[in-house]
Amino acid sequence: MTHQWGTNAMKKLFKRKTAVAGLVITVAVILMAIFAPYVAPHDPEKVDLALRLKPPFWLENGSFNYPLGTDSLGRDVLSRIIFGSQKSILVSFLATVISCILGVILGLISGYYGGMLDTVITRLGDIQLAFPLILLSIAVIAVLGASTINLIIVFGIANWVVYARVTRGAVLSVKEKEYVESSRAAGCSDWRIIIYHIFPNVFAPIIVIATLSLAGIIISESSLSFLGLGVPPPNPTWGGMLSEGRQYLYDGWWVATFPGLAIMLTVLGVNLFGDGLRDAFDPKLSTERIE
Amino acid sequence: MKKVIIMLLVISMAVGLFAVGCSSNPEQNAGKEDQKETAQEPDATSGQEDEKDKEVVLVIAQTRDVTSLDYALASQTETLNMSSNIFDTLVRLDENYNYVPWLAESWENPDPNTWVFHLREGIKFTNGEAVNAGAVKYSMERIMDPEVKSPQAWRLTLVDKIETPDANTVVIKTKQPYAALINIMTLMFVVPPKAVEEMGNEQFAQNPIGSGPFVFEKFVPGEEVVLVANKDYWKGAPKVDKLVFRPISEASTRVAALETGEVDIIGSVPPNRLDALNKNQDIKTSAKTGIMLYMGLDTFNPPLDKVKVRQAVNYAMDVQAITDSILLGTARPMAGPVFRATKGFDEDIKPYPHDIDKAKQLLKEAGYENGFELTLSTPPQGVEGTTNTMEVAQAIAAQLGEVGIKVTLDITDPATQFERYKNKEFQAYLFTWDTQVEPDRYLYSLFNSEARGYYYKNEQVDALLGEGRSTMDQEAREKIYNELHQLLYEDAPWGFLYNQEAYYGVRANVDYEAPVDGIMFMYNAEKNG
Repeated sequence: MTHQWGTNAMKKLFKRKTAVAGLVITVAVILMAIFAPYVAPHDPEKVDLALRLKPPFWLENGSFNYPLGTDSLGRDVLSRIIFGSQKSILVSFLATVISCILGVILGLISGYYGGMLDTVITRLGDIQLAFPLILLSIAVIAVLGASTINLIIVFGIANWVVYARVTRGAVLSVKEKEYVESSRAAGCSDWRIIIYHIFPNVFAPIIVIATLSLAGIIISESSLSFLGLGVPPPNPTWGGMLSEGRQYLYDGWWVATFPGLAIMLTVLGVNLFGDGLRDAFDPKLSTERIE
Repeated sequence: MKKVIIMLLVISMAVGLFAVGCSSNPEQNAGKEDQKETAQEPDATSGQEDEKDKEVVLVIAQTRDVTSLDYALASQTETLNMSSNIFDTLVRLDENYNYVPWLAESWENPDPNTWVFHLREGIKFTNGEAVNAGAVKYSMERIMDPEVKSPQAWRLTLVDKIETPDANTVVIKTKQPYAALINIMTLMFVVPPKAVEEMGNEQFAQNPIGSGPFVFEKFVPGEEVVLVANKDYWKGAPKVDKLVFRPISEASTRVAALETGEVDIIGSVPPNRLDALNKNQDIKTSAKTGIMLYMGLDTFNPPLDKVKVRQAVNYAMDVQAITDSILLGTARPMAGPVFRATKGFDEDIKPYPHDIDKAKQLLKEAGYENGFELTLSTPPQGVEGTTNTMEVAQAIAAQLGEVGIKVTLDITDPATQFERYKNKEFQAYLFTWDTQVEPDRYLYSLFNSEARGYYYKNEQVDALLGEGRSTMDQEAREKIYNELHQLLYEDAPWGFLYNQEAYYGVRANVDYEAPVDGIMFMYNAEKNG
């Protein structure tokens, strides 16, 4: 039953051109991050002051050796973008996994047990939602210091609420269903019921939310790096490159433009894919006519 | 019902859009000549009125906001700029680095431990109090008072007592001969005792009263500080009516504000915009002082406790390449920690050359053949007039990497940087100091182990510094500082970097040149049209 529903969803997903395009972009970025050392033409941290601010290859003085030009320290922009994808992908994936696990567990507990526990967890979520994500991250990073691990933890913790809410809602809607009651009557433990009978119901929406919030985290990570609170230089990050390139907009527009495009494309790709997933899994939310 | 509301909304939007389109379209306006003329008439008259009593306002963009207007209570450059326009000092530094009389008409040293200043008569603070010996004594003792916790207190540690034999004579007795006192006097702003006592220090720092060329009008934190001309200034009223100081921290925003004429004067012009500004006919740039950027090293802990390692760091860096490329030639590599302009700079000492082999050999001799790991703490943006520090830090990291020193950058928050510095949290750190003529004013506080012994202590250096400050003979003094220069150069307590020219951008119709002491004293500034 579940299996067939899954293949149906996949079929629907692949019918949408935008979703496929999104998937292709996302996979391409992931592959780029994984194989960065093989794909990048240069060492992203190699400084050569003699080569500073070389333009992209199609402009005068540009060369194919540095296809997207060099930055103010003579580092290859393309290589830095390729290596920069590693941090963006790493941070956003791990952070999403953390917030997903945290949110789902809290959501399951609060939905299934209800009562005091439910109230505490929901209120906690409300309180956290009252803080803008970026403000929270800045505060935490300012105290803990900027490092990849800290970023992952911050974003992981900051995003759990959405998952918890969706999970809780799904749990509430199925918890009184006959099959749950029957397994309870059969003497199943709470955990067995939660894991085998309730959790599969929330799986699809969670995947959709995870994909969409992944894009949000990529942007947040870039914003923090832009503010100088992300992964410290000379590690290449997209946001950091944007920030460094900003003061050279007059003499080297390419330094800030290409990382900006990279952020845009990646986020667009992930979002398109997420949209496609949502439409495929959840016909109720679909903007398309259901056949 | 719903439809009606939607219709109304659409109509109002359409009308609104049409109106906007009209007013911004000159051709359509041209068709309504008559209306335009009648509409302009009142404008024209009010414009003439403006012209008649048009006040000359000079808008100045600073890099940071002012926290306090009283230099006795805060040590930021921005505060110094405010205080020097609001208050007077006994002595000022002229364009040729000579000390010239200001509130003091003359001064003399009857003996090496005594300074006598004779004040000008009949000068008043803007609240009516007299500027006399008592006020000078009060102002200096306020700084020395441990309860006030003045950041300037260290400058007066050698002052024993201040006497006022009559209303216009101030006698300063020092604990030992102190040649640099005359320089310190250029920073001793005279405040009105009664007003300070009445208001209290905190209140006074926000609403200062002085005898200077400008009078404090208002201070809106984060927005502006407004000073108006002191029409009764004892040296004659200043040539502009009003000064407005605005904080604009983003370098490119600051430059844009100058280009559009929104501000008249900006500091810290980024090197990559200099060319464009110089080509702009409405703008001129000038630089008379510089800011030194240096990389302080923790000489108390390995591996930087070894002289050879510190020298290797200096040989491994290619400072010339950094100043040529990143700073576009607006900075010069430093030969040791002494400024070229300082009395006591040894001409024979040249900056450390870029020599990788030598650096590697020195590391080998010190037992660090395979290099070591180094954490370099650096502020995120340019600080105190330096620019591009982040890029410079990355370039240094790459250069040191070539001799095997693996550098990790630690981005410090400017607000906590000094605190961490004092807590000895740094292994290597980027810091600044502005150009000084008087060697004692910076070398003592940077290298004397009692003043700031956080990362360096050398008894020979301490002895020379003590000797230098108590020697009154100028030639003998210079010799002492020559020797100190040589010693510090070889002992390399820092990675010596460069002195960056501090460029000011000024609108062409404003007559103002970059200050020689880095303080924006606006008394002589003029603005035409």
